[in-house]
Amino acid sequence: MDCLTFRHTVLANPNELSSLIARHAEVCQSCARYLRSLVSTDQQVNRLLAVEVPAGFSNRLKSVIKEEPEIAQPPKLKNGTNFSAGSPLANANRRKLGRYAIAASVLAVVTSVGFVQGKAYLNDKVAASFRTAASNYISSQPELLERTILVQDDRVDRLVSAFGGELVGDLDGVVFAEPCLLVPVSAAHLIIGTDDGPVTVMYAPEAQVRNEQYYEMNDYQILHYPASTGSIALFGESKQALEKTRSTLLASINW
Amino acid sequence: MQTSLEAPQNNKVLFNSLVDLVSTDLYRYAFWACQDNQTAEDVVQETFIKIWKNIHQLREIDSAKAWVFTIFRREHARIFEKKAPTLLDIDTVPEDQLKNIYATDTTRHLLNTALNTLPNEYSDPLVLQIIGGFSCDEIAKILDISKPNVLTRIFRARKKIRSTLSTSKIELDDICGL
Repeated sequence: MDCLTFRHTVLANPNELSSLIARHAEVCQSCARYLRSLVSTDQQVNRLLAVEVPAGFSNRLKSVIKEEPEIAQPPKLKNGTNFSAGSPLANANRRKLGRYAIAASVLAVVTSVGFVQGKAYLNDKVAASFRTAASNYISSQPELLERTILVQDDRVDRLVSAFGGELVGDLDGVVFAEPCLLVPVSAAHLIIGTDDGPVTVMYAPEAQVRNEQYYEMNDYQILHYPASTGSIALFGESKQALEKTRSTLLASINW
Repeated sequence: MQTSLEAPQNNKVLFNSLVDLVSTDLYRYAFWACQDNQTAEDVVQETFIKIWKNIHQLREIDSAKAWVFTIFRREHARIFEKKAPTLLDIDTVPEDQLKNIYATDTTRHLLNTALNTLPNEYSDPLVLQIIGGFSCDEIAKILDISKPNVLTRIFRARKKIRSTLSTSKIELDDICGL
């Protein structure tokens, strides 16, 4: 791939990184810089467009469907009085209402269980997309993992703060700290040099996982675990490096 | 990975999940399209009413987000055919909402200007890509144009924004303070 084709391709979509694009970016520093600046521009545009959603907005949208049929009220007799207690009609109606009530309770339980399952299912999809996008992104920029110059603490502090976190302890060995726009979420992107090789940290407030889990993708070991908001995915060469980095992060950042 | 709608069978479950998954991005896209928070909220609400009425038509969860955005665009066009845009009286807008209406620093303002001076046919696919995270295929479906056309428009939009920004000598890293 030549530089012109590379630039035309990434201008159309800097996030869809094919192997050809990644290979060219590996050998051409100028194009790699160009790609990074494009991603950076997208991040700025994304931030510009990320207006605050009004409070309670999603609940108002959900209330759109609240005009569900209500539990039937006892029908009135033609003369306007209710069924008298103990009459066969009243007993039949009570049985019917009882069945409605049981059905409604069952429906409510099924709905709430189903809602939790449905939400968890969608969260899992977002988390999986995040892991894949992050893994591809890291693979496309191997030169970042070669960095040795430490990033200044205040830069790390600003990045952590920008993603709603707080630096509460020393976080040594950070060689890269940038925001990163990944489809479908954005993430705080840190690279930490460890004795067991560099570990990439991606904190995504919008990608939720229920439990910690190990994965393997693009020759990376991945440890993906829940944070208080969203999740943190660590990418490295060994599980040992990931475990150590997780302990370091736990002691130094409140996310 | 499972892609059919077997998991959330209940329509209400599916609807609520869609709201959770899409409403933030859709509101942001709506705000960009309407340039007014109240109108954006109204159009998104109308969109979700339409979605609730037609939720049985949704078959693939992978295409749910694109489907929602397509319905939004139709609703937006329908509403704006009838409605004259409301002029905002700046004195009556609460201060905390102003930051949603105007870029409040120079660099954001320049970026905003660069984006808003783009013709809609260029900015629309770019915003869909950036806010919605859609692929070019999905954008082509939402906008009902061909994929090469999407690629060309996004290419030109990015080029134009970069050109505007470099003319203004903006250091992009300064924008986010990093």
